[in-house]
Amino acid sequence: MQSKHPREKDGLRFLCITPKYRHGAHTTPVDLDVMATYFGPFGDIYRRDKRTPWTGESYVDINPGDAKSLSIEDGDYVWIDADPQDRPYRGAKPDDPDYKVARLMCRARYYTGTPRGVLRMWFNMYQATHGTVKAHETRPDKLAKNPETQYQAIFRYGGHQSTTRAWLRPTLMTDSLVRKDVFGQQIGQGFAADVHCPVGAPKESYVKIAKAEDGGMDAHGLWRPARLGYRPTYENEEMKKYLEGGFIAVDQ
Amino acid sequence: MATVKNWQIQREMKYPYEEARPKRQFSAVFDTNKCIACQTCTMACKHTWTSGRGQEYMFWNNVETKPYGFYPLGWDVKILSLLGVNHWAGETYQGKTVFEAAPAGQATQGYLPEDMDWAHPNIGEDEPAGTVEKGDFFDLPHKIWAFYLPRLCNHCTYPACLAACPRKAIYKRQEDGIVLVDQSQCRGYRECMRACPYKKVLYNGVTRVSEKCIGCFPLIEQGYQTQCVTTCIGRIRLNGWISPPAKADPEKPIDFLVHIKQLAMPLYPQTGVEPNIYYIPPVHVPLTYLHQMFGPKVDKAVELYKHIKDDEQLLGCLTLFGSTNRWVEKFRVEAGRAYGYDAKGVEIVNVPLREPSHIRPFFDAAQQAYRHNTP
Repeated sequence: MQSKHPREKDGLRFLCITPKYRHGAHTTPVDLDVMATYFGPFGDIYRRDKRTPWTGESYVDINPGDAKSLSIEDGDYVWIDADPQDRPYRGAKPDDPDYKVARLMCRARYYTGTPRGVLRMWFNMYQATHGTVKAHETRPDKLAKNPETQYQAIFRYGGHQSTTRAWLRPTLMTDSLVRKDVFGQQIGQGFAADVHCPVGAPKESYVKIAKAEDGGMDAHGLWRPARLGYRPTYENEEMKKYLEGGFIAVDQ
Repeated sequence: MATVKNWQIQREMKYPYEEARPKRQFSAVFDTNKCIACQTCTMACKHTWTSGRGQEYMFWNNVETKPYGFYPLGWDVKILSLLGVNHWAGETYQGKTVFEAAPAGQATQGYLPEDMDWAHPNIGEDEPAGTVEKGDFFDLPHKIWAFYLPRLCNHCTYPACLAACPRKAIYKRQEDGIVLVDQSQCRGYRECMRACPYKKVLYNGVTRVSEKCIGCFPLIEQGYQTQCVTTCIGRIRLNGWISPPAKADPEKPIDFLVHIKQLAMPLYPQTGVEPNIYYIPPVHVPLTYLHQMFGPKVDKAVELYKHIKDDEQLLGCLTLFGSTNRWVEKFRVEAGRAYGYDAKGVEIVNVPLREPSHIRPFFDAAQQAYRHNTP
């Protein structure tokens, strides 16, 4: 490529995509604790690591080569930031109380199927709110659940939409377009958020990613499965042999 | 120690009890080529059997992505390591089974998983072996590969859990071969957990006894297939009885797939337990890995599967997967349809091998109109 992204000098160099999750639409993948446990590799129904916002948590997939170049280990918590001009919101300042509610933090998973320069995170998830952040920081069990509304977040901080934004194109005809209402068979006209804004739909953003905390229990060292050698690039000798089919010898 | 016959490794082997095959043996075939790891089976089992206290972490049925998925962590890597090099001479296993490799004073070679090994049941989901490089494309077998392995208790002919139990609290039912843990006899020593090579006995910290998949026996007794089988949206599963090879009946679907066509293989037959859940191997995975997992006969099964459209009997048998919630005792394929029968020989299902289709003409003469099919 001849051109460079103007934000590259600020460390933004990853395309972050948020496609639909493979196990369901809307919030079905995370509506029950048992399903949240099955949500990706970090689920634990007993929440042994109290940092985990729920019985499972959101994560970002990263190519192991990219992660290693940034000293991010498999299972580490990371911060993901997009263009500071307007993300996570316009005029955000780090000492602002809203900032940490809106800024995205999640675990990183080494995913060898991810091309270099790309990050992948699922959408369809309950993002952090002021209530869940307060609960996460004050409850003894650190559960990210708003005690007043019972709203349960699957992020400690921020969410999959912290880095994205919607641009309304002129061709969307927000003043005059005749279109169906969101529910039912009524016909309406003009702007309707769920029609015109790609809210929640897969979106891309340009981001930087940086390590926040160790993935190991209570922020100490490597995440256990990586430490024990059962994760990509951390394979122990037995695991390497297993991957090659090395435990068998067949004489035909 | 008795000497018993294990047809999966084509030789005799040592087992603590005499050979006592049940009247009928519970079994199933899973087609791994069709499994997408949607976990519907996992959740169906969970909500049916393990929603109680102490069962929170339990998944009697689980689906794990191979090679990086494990429940519990590293289970098959560890078992294979404990057995050493699993040497086969043709179709005869020359290495040691878990019984033959047992250390002095123990019934089997095994290990007890740590609590944390069960923590992340969906670890490794969708993770392939190998890293994507620029310009990569798919060929057979895939250079970068993964597949989904649905797992539950194998209701083994020679259960390691039963062999290892010091209280004889584990028994195998004569009427269907289902292996059960007697909850009143068990004292939670976890010798069965240590012994089971597939790690399919689980300890309940509230009742303080061990438990496992019960083969949905209340359903089986009524002539129905199990929850994990009938809820499978990919129609990858079929229950049935399996006979020893000498008594194989080509009209019984599981016998047909396992013995007659040899399309479905046991999981890690080298353990010696004679597991009774059978797998149609994934055709895109390197054969060395498949040999390790399903034994030396896997090459022919992969080739056969690639040409399955040319074999009407086989295609018919696979079409019965997911076509009925009833237990199919026998089947028949004739003139493009597959028929399933219950124990009394009454037809319970019939399905076409190919779904009928009709293509609407572009021009509708009756209405004098063109019909667009808008995608």
